[in-house]
Amino acid sequence: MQSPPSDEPPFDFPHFLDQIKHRSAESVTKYLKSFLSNFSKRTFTLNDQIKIINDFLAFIAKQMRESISAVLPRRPLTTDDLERDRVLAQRISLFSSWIEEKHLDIPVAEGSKGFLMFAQQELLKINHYKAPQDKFICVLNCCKVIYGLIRHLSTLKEKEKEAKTAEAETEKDEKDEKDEEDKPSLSLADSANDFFPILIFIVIKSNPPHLISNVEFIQRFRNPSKLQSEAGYYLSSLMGAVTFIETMDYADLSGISKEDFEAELEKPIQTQEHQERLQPSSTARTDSSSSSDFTETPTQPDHQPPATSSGSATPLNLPNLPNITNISSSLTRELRGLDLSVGEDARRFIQRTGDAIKTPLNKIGRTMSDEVATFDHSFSSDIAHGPSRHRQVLKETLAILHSISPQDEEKVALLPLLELRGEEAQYRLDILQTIADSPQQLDQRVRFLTLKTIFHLSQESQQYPQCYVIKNLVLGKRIARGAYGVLREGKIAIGSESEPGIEGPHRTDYAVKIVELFPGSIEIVVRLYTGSRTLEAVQTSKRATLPGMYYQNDKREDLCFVSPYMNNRSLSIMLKDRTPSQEDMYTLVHDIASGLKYLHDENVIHGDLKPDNVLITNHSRACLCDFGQSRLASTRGFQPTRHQGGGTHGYMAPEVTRDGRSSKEGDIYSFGPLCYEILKKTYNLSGLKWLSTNKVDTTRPERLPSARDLDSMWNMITQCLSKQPSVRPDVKNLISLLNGMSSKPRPAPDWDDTDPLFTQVQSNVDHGGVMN
Amino acid sequence: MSKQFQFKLVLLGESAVGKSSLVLRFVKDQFDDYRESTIGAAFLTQTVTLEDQTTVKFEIWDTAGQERYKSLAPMYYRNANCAVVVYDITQSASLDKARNWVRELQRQADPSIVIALCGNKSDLSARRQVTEEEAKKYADEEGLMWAETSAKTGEGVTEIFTAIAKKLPLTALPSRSGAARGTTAARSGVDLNKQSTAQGQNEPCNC
Repeated sequence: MQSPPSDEPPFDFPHFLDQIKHRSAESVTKYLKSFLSNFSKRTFTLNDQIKIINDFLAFIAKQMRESISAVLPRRPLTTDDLERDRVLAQRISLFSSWIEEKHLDIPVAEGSKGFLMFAQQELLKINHYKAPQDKFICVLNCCKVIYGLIRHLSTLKEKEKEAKTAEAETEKDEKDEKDEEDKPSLSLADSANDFFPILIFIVIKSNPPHLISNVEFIQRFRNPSKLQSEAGYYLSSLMGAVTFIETMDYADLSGISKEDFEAELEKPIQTQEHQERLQPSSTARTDSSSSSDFTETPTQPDHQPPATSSGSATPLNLPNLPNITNISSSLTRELRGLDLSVGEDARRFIQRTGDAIKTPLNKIGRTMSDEVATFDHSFSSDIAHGPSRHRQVLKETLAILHSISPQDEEKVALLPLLELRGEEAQYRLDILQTIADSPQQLDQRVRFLTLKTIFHLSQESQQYPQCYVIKNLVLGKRIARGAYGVLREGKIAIGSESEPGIEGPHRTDYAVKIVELFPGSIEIVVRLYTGSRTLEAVQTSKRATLPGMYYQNDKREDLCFVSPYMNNRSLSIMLKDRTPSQEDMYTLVHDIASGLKYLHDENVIHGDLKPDNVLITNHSRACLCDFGQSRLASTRGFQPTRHQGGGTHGYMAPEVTRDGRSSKEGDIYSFGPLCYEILKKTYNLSGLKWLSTNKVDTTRPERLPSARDLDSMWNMITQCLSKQPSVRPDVKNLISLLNGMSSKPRPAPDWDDTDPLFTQVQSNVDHGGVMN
Repeated sequence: MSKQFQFKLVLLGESAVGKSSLVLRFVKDQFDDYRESTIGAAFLTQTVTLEDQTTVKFEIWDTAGQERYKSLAPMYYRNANCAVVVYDITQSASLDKARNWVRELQRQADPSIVIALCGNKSDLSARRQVTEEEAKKYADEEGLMWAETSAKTGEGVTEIFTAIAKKLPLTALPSRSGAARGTTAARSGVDLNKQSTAQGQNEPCNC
């Protein structure tokens, strides 16, 4: 009466790739090649895409469905899904900062934090993988950790009970009954009653980006036969958790009154910002976006021709396919280990377990990328990527970019580029990235146009620029976790290979933002990238070549941005620590206004201007960062969109709060409180009402000395705060107001062309392209 | 060759009625090493072999019984072939909850669903609040299967699941039932079976 044990061999992707290259598989590869090329030629609706892919899979399936789906194009994301993702993420963010185990009746015990963190980590990995089966494994792993926690809790409970029974024989009657319910002789309580609340808790705490899209994606493209049974159960549970969160009210939670619940919802934005952005407050927070400390490189990039095989052959779907057997057995093993060592420092075991799970994956990932590169190349051999062609395309691309005059309709002029799809798009993106990253003198406008083209071409073709690999980057501890990834300390290891983890006398040189990739992340990745490129331009009147987007190592797994570690951190932290002098004040205000001018001139809306998003360089200059909320205003396919849960009370214009649409006028409004914060600290003022209520109090604070510049400054602030967006000054007015003041900002420091921070990175980058 | 069927069974009931224990008893009594087959007890599988050598594999979907999760139940009982609604014979209120579940299933679940009403904790009959007659009468009126069980002693547990297994192939259409092992892929529009029946045994992807 037993279920027959499964004796099917585990799936081995590298082996599969060997097989498919064999002559006998020629017919299959032919079909696949033809399918891939035809599929990328046209744009299909979501349902068509699902049908086409599934039909093709059904056709070719026999023994290879899941493996094939890992290399098929991925653009079946609907804006509906994305919108739901946004709404969900926004909703979760209302809860994630304050909800506790007790609200969902989850018992807490020593060691349970570790399990919870581990489970969150596993769930978040869903965005690291591309193939539906891999994503699903992340869900399953998260569930396994939850069971680990339940078993851990019940072991503790058992012990406690034994201890209690010994001293309280009298209550035995009562206890018998209770044992019956949750501790039967079978001594397990890992049922849905225990499991489900923890799953909800994990979802809230981790708030995985694009959760709904991911689940939908698994359900649409995973082999239907694999989606029954256990997989179906856990996916349903995950969707159940989502549904619960979508409608969760105080009555659905324990130990919280209606008033408290509402109060918590009132303050989520601040709390969330605080948690996400300032934590931990003792360390610096910088973003990928900016640096004025970097300067142009004195070294020219290597003029190597691109490797013909890999110049553009890196497939968009470089999957990190976990070997399923490895992942589950290693997890099981680790969970057993966990049971024994939960008493230990949670951080340590998370670290250990994480590494143990990752190791086999990395190995496979590497084998895979090599294999896939070859595999892919065999399909793309009809597209020549030799050095000569590379130069030719580069020239052509530059010519197109240069030919566009400011009066032209950009979209039309760029059409030849924007219509590219598939491998050609990928190839062109690489070229564009080469241009954008080029240390050569490039017209500011052309550079920005290049970035915009990258952005739009990525959006339309669903490819992203092949990135450079940064070698010898050693990651240190985590600084913060943001919406799109994790920010860690980093340095470049010189000489011998050193172990990860920065300790002892080493200096932390860089902040490394590791981007989480998921379907649809292209838009965000490019936006961050564009943001970082934009900022660097904002900060220096000269062209600067801040390192852009990189793969963290040659496994090409994690995409990251590298920026210098800013010891002075953000404006908000700086203002806490010290009082800016009057000169500092003007310099900071000026820097911010210049940054804003640059953005607005290029039709970029920042959308979340506030002290946390103003970074202070080591030279005490301000630069804007965090373009998580930023929008390209009124360009192709990118209208100012509805507010996506960003923006911060007190800094947000009333109409932005009300309509949820960020705008240039909204940025100008936010500039007001920002200047006021600096002013307030400089002159030791107390807060004004409008910071919390959006009611503009135009009275000049008493302690503000009467001086010409201060009066103008005050006027400027109150103008920015006008209720009517149309009467606020625009950024040009701001600059001229500031220029009209007698106090001048400190001149920008001279950039050190040989700053080791920059040359170090530069010399450790594998350039994929040539720049002539 | 004997016939093999696979059915989805959803477990419903208030949180303290012992529905999870009931299933654990069913699964564990039969198959000690059940943990090898699923990752945790919220989803379990168990196979019952009938006298004619037909095997019925149950996929058992546990639900969180807490009131606050009640509205999520449809996500679990969707496409279920059978449901076991559990109440506690020592708590008359739990039968009322069970009635609500039955009503909801009859209204919203697949019309062919087989519903079994199960009075758990029969070992505590000294504290009984729900009589056998009352429950049986209700079950008969609604056309439900009914039994009393004790997860603690194991009494009646295997019997009720076997009874469900017997009833299922007769009442559920094979095409709706998740069907026999070789044809489990036939859920959506893609028909993989034509080619895969022969090669199903060799399918390399084991996830």
